[in-house]
Amino acid sequence: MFEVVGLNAGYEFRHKFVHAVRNVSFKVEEQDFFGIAGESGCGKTTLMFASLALLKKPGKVISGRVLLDGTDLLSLRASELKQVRWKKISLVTQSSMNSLNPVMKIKDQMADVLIRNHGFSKKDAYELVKEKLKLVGIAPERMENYPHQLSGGMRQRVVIAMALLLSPRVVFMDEPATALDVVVQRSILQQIEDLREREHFSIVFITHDISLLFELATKIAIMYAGEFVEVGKAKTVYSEPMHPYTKGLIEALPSISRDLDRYKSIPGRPIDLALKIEGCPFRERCSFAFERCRVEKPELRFINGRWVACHLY
Amino acid sequence: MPSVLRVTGLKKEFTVRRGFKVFTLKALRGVDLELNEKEIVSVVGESGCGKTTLLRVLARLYEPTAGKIELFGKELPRKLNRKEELKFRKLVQMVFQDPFASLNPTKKISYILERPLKIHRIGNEEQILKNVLEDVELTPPESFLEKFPHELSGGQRQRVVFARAIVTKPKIILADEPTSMLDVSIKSGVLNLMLKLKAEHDISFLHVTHDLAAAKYISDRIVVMYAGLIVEEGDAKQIVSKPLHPYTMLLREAAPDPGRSSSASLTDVGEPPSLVNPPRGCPFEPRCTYAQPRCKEPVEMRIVDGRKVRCVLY
Repeated sequence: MFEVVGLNAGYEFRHKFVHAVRNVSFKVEEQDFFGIAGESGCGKTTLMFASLALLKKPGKVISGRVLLDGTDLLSLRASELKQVRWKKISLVTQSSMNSLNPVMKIKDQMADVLIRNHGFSKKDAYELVKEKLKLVGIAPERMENYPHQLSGGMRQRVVIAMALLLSPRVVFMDEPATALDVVVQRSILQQIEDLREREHFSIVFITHDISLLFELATKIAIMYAGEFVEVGKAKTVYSEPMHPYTKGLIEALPSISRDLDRYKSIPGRPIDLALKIEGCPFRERCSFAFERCRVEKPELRFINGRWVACHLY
Repeated sequence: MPSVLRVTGLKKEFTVRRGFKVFTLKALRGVDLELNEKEIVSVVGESGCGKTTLLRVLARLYEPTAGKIELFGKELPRKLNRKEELKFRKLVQMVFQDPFASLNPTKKISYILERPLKIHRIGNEEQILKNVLEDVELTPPESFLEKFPHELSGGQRQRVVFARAIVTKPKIILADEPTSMLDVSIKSGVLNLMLKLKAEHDISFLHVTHDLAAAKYISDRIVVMYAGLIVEEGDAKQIVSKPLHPYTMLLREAAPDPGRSSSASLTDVGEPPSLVNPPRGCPFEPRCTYAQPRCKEPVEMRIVDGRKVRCVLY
């Protein structure tokens, strides 16, 4: 339904090009919960902006296609994109609860896009706003409030309701709950999960909190240095990780239910994405690296029911 | 084990003005806590529960409204003269959450590490700086001394912050969410560093965090705070594997856990009570599924299975 094919994107400066998304392809099926996990600077947010045709200068998409029901979003004109956004695909950004306009009532900022781009009358727009607020568990009276009158969790719910206004097929979520307290975070994530089942949309969920993703996502992609290094069912990737980076992440993660005596962090730091990478991007931090990893770049291959980019297999 | 820090009946109130009205915000409402030699105690809770206020009162950044703080068995007076203050700061150091904000960006690492030596007149030997850098596993130390903070990664910067804290050979480090800004792959490295400093330098840590999994990994004991009160305290592994207080249970359920078979649904929709006018009884009563009429009365700490719990169920 939603598919990204061979996407290459990055940031162009006068003297260098930061190649933040390197040949990424993935497919989101109907009602998938697709998780993309990676450390900061691995290119996950760039991937999201590029897939939504939202990447602004100096960001640039070099090649690739983003197909939504067969149409390539990257080839659409601005006026055509307006029709697709919100209606078919929408977005909940990082700490979006702070992105609400403080001097506009909730109902007005929610209705804005409906009236402006989708030809709603004011009355119909407010009606729809009311309905969607109810969906996320906010009393309809609250639409008369200003953002500062709501708690952080409620503001986040408003932003989620906003993304669901026109019942899109795919919703991108970039760390939608990280700025919130653990308990509030959990209840919001649960609500997202319930809504996904009830309203039949797919989620592409981007986060650095991999323990959360392993628990919630149906499919998971581990991203490193702009590439997907392992893609598969979340539960099996967690129980039998194949790529050394995935293994390292799982071993580095204190867990409340497991009892390891010692968690190890992965040595070294991520590679500079402005450089040309030869061989495997992870090899310098990898304890399994051998000669072939230096000279030949591992491609994503389908092994044991999942995709892995590693010479070990 | 002898205690290095003991707090009894600690209270902290803030005066808040809203328009013409003046409110008293009760951030700490009687906290008793003990930190023993070579021990890591983690304080967990949601934001606004008072955990950071507790740390700041102990660091003498805030003056307590009431209560007693004892350091190595001696009561700490309200006012310290400059010499006593220096002695206190030498023994009790702090580590903050954001390693990007807690290092001066215009100074080299060598300068940052020298400052405590100068202030405490320890004598400035380059060997001391090299030793602490080696202690925090930044090797070779020579290459780091001449660097600026922006040349280091987040994990390395947090290690420099720890190096600066241990340069005066403190006995206590107050750490405020030291790993919450770090990436998953390096987070456990900093947690391991805390374990190492505890074992090799006999440092006790009071560690404030909202990450229950990290708290379980490094701490000897966990203290759970809610609305300015301690609601449960005890052995770290036990508290996480079998929480007694309903609030601890809620925290345990809310924490991400990849090992969980199915997402158990969380029924909670409540919020912590207002600290301006906190409930007279158990602060968790309005949110609690086990609430009973007697929860409206103040609840004392009780001891269950070697743990302290503030709940009428036990």
